[in-house]
Amino acid sequence: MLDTFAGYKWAALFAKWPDVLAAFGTTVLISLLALIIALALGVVFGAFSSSRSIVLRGITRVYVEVVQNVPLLLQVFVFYAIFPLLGVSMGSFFIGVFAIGIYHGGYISEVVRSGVGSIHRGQFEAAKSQGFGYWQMMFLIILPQAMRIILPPLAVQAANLVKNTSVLALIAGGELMYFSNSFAGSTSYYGPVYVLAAVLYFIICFPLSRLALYLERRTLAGHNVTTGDGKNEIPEDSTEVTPGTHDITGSAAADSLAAGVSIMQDTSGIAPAPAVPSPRHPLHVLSDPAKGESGRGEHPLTGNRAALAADEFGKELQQEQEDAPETHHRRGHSAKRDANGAKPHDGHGKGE
Amino acid sequence: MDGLFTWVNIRFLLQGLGSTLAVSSVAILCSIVLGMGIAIARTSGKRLFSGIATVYIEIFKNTPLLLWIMFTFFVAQLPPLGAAILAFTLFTSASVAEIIRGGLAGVASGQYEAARSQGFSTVQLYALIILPQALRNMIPALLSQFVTTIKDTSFLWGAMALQELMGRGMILMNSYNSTADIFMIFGTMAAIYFVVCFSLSQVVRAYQKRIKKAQAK
Repeated sequence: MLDTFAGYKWAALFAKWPDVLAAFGTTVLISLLALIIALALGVVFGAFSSSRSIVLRGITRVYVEVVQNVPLLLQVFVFYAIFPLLGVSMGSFFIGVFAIGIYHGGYISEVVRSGVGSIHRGQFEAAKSQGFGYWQMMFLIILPQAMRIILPPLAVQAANLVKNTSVLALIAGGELMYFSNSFAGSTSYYGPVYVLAAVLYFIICFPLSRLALYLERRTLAGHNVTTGDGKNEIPEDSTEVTPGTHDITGSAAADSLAAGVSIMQDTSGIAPAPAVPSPRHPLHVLSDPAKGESGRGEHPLTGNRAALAADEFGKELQQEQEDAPETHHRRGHSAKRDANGAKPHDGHGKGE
Repeated sequence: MDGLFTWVNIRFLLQGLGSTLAVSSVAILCSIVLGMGIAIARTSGKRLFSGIATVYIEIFKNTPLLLWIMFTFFVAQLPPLGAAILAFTLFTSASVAEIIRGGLAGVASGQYEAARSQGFSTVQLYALIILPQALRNMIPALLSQFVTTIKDTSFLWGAMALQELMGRGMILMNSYNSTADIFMIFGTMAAIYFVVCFSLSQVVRAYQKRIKKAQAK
């Protein structure tokens, strides 16, 4: 067992350093390209899922559910084994870029959805009243504000994406994991190469998860995150969350994803618990919040709670959008002739 | 396409699903045990223990699962099933530890104080008072982790030729030649994964709603 890590095995590995570097570079390159695709898909579908069109929302739902509930390896195999049967074949590099990009696009769209849901509806109304189109409103008004909610879980997704490129080893992807396997297979020096691979993956992923933690803390430090503008807009009871809960699909996925940092793998969002004890505990008066758990638990609005509040707003917003056509109609008679089609404001004008 | 969906073929796939579920269940149960230890170490307040727990969590959080499957199989030279379960346990327990930590922190500190004041020992405190309460809150997260684990067991065929659902599907695909057949088998395999994972996700969602409702009261 001891000579699994014998010195000459390390020497043999380091003699191949150009190959290690090339494989590492391939991993980085695939990750970057896949991330670009995932971001593009995530923004588009994330915006879709907060649109009025039931068709667009339906498409997004199907995309997200399929991508999240079928193993990544199967999705890679669609490109690798099924598409060639239909006459479409591509190299394993681009299979990696597309398959992993599409896979994480589904996750990122949920992140974006929760971010958009966190923006105060006054912002939407204000943008519309100023005559912005849907995409203009999204890109110029909503998304820039949602960034602070979106960024922490996005960094987690980036780290997951890098880890998931290792799947390509199983289709001869030429990246770090594949190199490790083939080096181990051809020399039967198993020990060193996997340790080195672990270190190299860690070098990429660790800063990303630290970044996520940093971003989340920074976001939490600014109180006006969840609503985009108001400080105390969130009623306390709507932010009461079960600690550590998350979901793999659907609306709650966004909650957990927005909880962000603690997401370890694909979908497991582990939110820090709020220090404020549940009102259901008869003994909660005994607890002293100042003595609460260390770390993020101290924040008045932890990731999961912020995300829940965000989701609450998203639902409200959606409700409003569903109601909108009618109310618009009713108002329409008086307001339609208003110059520039500006809509009358309601009570949410303070959100500007 | 005739004779594709025979009982033999279907049973063959379902047995694969059986091993997929068996491996992931055992792995998740082991992860809960190990994860509980790590979570308690992490929150123990003792520098050494929480340091070790943190390092453990960071290592497994920031490296791919496939690497650990290779590691246990090739470097540790374990038999496939043992290697699979060990790799999944090591990797998943880091996630589970964080879930449990969240759950433990969610139990009001009054509960700790009350139990201590009644003379419970640390082991009794956790086993009888804290964990039962924390568990209720952790169930959705743990179930989601289970779904993730089910999805990830699909690596096992490629990595160590363990015949779980993915492996069985691949074997079946190799024994048919026509494009339509291969297409159907692949579709069936993907559909089985989807049905299992999607229904579990729906359970998670329903459970979460229930907790939310209960807390709103």
